[in-house]
Amino acid sequence: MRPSILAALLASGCAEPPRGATYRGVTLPVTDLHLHPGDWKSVPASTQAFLAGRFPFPFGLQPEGLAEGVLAAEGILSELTDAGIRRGGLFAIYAPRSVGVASNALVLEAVETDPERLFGFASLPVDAWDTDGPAALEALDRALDAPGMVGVKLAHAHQRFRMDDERYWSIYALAAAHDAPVYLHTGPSPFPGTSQEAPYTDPAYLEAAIAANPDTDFILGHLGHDFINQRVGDLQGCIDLASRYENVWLEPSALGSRSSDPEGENLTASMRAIRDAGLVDRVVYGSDGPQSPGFVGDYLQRTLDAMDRSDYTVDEAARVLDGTYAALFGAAPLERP
Amino acid sequence: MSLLALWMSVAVAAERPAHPTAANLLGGSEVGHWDAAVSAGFPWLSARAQVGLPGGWTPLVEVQSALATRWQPSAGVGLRWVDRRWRVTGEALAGWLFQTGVLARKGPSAELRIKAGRAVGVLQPYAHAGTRHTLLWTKTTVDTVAGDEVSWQAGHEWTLTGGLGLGIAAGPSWGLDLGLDLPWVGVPTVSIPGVHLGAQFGGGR
Repeated sequence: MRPSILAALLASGCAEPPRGATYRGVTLPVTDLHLHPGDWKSVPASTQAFLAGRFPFPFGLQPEGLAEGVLAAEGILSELTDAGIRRGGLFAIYAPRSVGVASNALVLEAVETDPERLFGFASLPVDAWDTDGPAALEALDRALDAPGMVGVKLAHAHQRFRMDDERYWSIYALAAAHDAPVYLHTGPSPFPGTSQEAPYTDPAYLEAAIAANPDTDFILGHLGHDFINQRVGDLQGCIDLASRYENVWLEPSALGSRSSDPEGENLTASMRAIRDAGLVDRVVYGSDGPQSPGFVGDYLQRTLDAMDRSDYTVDEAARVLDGTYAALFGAAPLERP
Repeated sequence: MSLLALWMSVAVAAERPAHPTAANLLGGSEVGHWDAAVSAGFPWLSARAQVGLPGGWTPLVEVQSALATRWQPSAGVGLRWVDRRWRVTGEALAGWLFQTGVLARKGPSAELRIKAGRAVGVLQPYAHAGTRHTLLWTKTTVDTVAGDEVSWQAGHEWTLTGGLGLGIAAGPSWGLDLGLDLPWVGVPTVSIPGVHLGAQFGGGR
């Protein structure tokens, strides 16, 4: 065999996995539950403007090329690798009037780019539920049968349906049948076109659904954070639900970003409150990336800093960064480097 | 004419206030002289023309564009405050912002800037800084069952302008410059520095 081909084969077969994150001198493997693939053209104009406004000048003037690169599977994998993150979850969403649409098919195609490192959360349109709901549920059922689709993503504020509306509880039953945890956006959202009233954002309005669906795991995304006023928001409500219901999990994505929490105070307060409540083993790490180049790695570092300030032990940090994902989704935990 | 003599004549010309490189980059045209400049780079293109009046006053017009998506035409006046070994010039401009694309916006703008530098033989290092304010307004139309609901919102964009570079008097009546563009557009949004290559010409009556 020619030396150059042999070298290439050896290099591909022996490629180093991402190194992990260093916490108090120990390198820990990381799974980022919460990432958004997408198609820029499927994002509403108002949301395109919202996102482009966050790009450094002059990239916001012509954001499509940069956005497409960041939102593509290859771009997301690159961001994960640069951040030392081993695997990541990709979210579908059907919210045409707010954040746009990333279909189940798009997510599955992205997962197939690297099924060893990527997994997906399916979603469904909830508009005209009384007429279109059954068909939407059938499509979700088929999507959850696909290899690599491990959960369900819902965002009541973005999709504009109430958390306490029993008509939608069939989604939770279907998720339980597939052993697929349900990720839910909680807290007011800054995106244009979202519903910001309490029944769409306050996790307390989920309690009835949580109690009625004990076989469904509910992941309370963003910990009820108030992104509009950039304050802690309904964190205590999330902690209260997790304390009283074993099928409730907590995910601290996005609330600690540079734009939402410049000094890191909100994320630190959130992680400290969770630890004080004895709920570290319910926390699953997610970033809500990729957003912009470098965001995924930056958010991981900000989370590490928040855990350090909140005096998380190495084992507690390991649980947050990968252990809870493995336990909740029945996946093999990543080995420590 | 030998090369040495040519270089010396250009160096002498460069150190005269009337050289177009000094007039454009350091500010202020000589009385009765016109000067112009163009530059191209990433992300900025620009073109500028000015004429000298008595008392150190220099009316000017300029247009700047970033990626042919953001356009900033302006007109104003400059005044030389210091004109010895160093030249320091102040400029005041009023204009308009046109920005298309995803971040479309428009509105009147006003800018104050200061320029400084000196001629060292044919070389003319320079720097400039300023503050630019643009009044924006946004029209939102919401389709409702009862008809369209139109609302207007006012806004403000603040840009800190700035840059530095090196001009070279390449000939008696023309020159080049290589510059770093350092505006902070739409504070506090992060701005990436730009670079440009420029040409200056004129100096005649």
